Amino acid sequence: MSGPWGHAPAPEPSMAPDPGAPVFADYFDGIRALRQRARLRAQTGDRGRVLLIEPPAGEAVRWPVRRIRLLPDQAPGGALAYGLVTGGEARLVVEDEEARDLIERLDPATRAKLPGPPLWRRALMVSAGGVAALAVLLFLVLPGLAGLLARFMDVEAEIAMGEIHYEQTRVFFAQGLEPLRECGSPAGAAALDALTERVAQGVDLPYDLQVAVLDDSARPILNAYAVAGGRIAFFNSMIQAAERPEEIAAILAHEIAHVVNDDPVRHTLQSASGLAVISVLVGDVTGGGLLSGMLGGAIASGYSRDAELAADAFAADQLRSVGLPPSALGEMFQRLRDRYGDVEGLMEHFSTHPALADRIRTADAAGDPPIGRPALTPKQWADLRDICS
Amino acid sequence: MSSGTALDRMSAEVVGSKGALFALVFKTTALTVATLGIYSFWARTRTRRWLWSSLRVGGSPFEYVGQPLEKLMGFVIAAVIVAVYLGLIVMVLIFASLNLFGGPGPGTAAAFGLLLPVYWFAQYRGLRYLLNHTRWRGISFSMTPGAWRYSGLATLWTLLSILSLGLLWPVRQQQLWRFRARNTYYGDDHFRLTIPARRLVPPFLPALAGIWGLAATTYIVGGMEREDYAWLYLLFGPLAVFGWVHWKTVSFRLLASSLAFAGAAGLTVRPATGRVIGIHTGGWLAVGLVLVVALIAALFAFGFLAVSALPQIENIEELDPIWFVLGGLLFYLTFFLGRSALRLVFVTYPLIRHVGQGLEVRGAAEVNAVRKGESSHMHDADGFANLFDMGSGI
Repeated sequence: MSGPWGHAPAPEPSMAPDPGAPVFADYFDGIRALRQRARLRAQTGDRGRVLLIEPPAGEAVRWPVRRIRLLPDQAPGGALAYGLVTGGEARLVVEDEEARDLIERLDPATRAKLPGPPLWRRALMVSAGGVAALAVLLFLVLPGLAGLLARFMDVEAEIAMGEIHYEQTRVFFAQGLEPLRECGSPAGAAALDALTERVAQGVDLPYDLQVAVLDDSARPILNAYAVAGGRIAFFNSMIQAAERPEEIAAILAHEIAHVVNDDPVRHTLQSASGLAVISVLVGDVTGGGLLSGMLGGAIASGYSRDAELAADAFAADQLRSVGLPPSALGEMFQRLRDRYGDVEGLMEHFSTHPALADRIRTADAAGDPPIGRPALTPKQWADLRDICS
Repeated sequence: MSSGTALDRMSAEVVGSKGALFALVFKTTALTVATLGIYSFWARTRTRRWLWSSLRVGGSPFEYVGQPLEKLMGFVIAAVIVAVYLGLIVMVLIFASLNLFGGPGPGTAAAFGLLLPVYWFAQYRGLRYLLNHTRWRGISFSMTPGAWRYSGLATLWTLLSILSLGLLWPVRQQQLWRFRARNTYYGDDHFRLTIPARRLVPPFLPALAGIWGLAATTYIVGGMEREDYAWLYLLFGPLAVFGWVHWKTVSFRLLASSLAFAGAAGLTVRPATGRVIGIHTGGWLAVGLVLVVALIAALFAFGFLAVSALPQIENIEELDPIWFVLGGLLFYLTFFLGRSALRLVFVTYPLIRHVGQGLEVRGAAEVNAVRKGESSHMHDADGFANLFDMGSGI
């Protein structure tokens, strides 16, 4: 209402606005930046009703009424801008109330929003292609590259990295700040060495295997793991959960398989790059952080699920070749399952180990060789079980 | 040069209200949360449309013509490109770092350092997309391609700024602005930056003094273990903060006011440091307040729900864990999206209004003579900028 043309001079003082008084709006033709103060009039032409836009100079423009739409999401308190559904860059900017009334009275559809171009089909195709490309990257390219690079890892560097990771895990699994204690009663250590030598027979590695038992009596963890550089750690609770030495031999074979397959190095490379990718992708919507950590965890454990199955297969072969029963692994898993239940549903996806039931089935199917001498003598087995006391 | 007649000048105004903007972002943020982020492309588009239309120069509103689906596709394209680049680079660098340094740290740092050129690339492409989709008086702005050259320029001047201990930072700003201005078109004619770099040095000195002071204090207190000098932080900390806001405000005023268009057209802006600090302080206080109130309300609602639903949920452990993950995700999205939405209402919009109120354009006659120029389609839209969350929300 503030423009110089805001109020048309009324011929006579009257309460009601004169319906015949001229109304104006700013017209932009989309070709020049020139603002044209144009007179608006309703007209009925050959092809239905039109809004006649008459600039001060030049030819009048005709907008078909049923094609006129309001631009979407305009800030209130200003003029209203209109366009045509047929596209085109011409705009009508309407400030005066009389002019707005004129347009809205012509057709209520003019109050509807100007639609965008139809892009749905293309957007769906691009999105599907993008998701497929990301999946190929995360689940094929990066794991493949990690496996390739892991083979060229420098031995010294790998041992140093294993040292660091091992110390980190000892702190990570501890209750307080004090790292978990390494158990080492002389007799127990000797038994552990004997077991390692038996199980690792014929396995060729560029470094020595270093097997340790960690005292987790404060909070039993019931697990074993391998880090880079041939370091393997058992939690004491795992040894206590076993009923015979062959079960520990089977788990040791499984961890040795991880070492042979370069899994720790591969896993480090893979999860670092996967996490970097995801943190950038998710960073957009949320500001990153927690969510990307969670997704990264899911992917990282996804990697080692494959690795776990490969390690199970290697372990079965290795055990058979040294005359130990792979079925011990199945027995132990069965007992664990009876006691703790299976991991299923969503949590299964986040767990680093494939569902126990699958592994029991695989382990049983492996078949036992003719059993040779036991993994440890009863005396050695008793020593190993006492390694932490 | 410019004819100073009132007829040749166009003043600007920013219409709308915080309330109306809040109503819009509340709606779009709720939809974004409900769709787990997918609606964000629509949310961004709608708030931009609103903000653009709120700015009126010479009585004519700006118009934002970007499309949500275009942004979605751009985001996907940019995401794939950056993911491939980052994934491979991180892997190779971490491998090298493990072998050379025995740890992944240096490799990770190098990888993110190598992301910086991509960041500047994204900045230019994002700006280019915005300009290509900004119209005024039915005529589109545009920007010529040049993201890699811009990225190279930014890398070069950033290195020079670091080597000169920050002294060349104002020159860097001037160089980047000049590059962007020269490549920016309105219709068929382009902008120029007329300010010489040396005029930007004085307003930067307080910030520089503050930053040098902080570095020196850290060296004295940390390196020389003279903790009795820790009070220097109280001197240089505020100086650095105030100096930085002062520099941002004054450099923006000088740079933007020196933009010339076509023959003699140009613009003037008059942001004030005190006002900018006031808007930031008040704005962030308001954001915090609204978030706290929302959190309390949510806790009450949750408590009520828990009490009324408890008899049905006999055993919480039997509940599918997907519900917990979903609940956590929703809370997380609500908090972060809520924060950037509120920032838009209480900080960004007031800043736009402050700058807009002092904006003046000279050369109405030359603007009238502008004709439609070329503006090209960009397949990646502002996907790269979106990926780096530039301007979060705008």
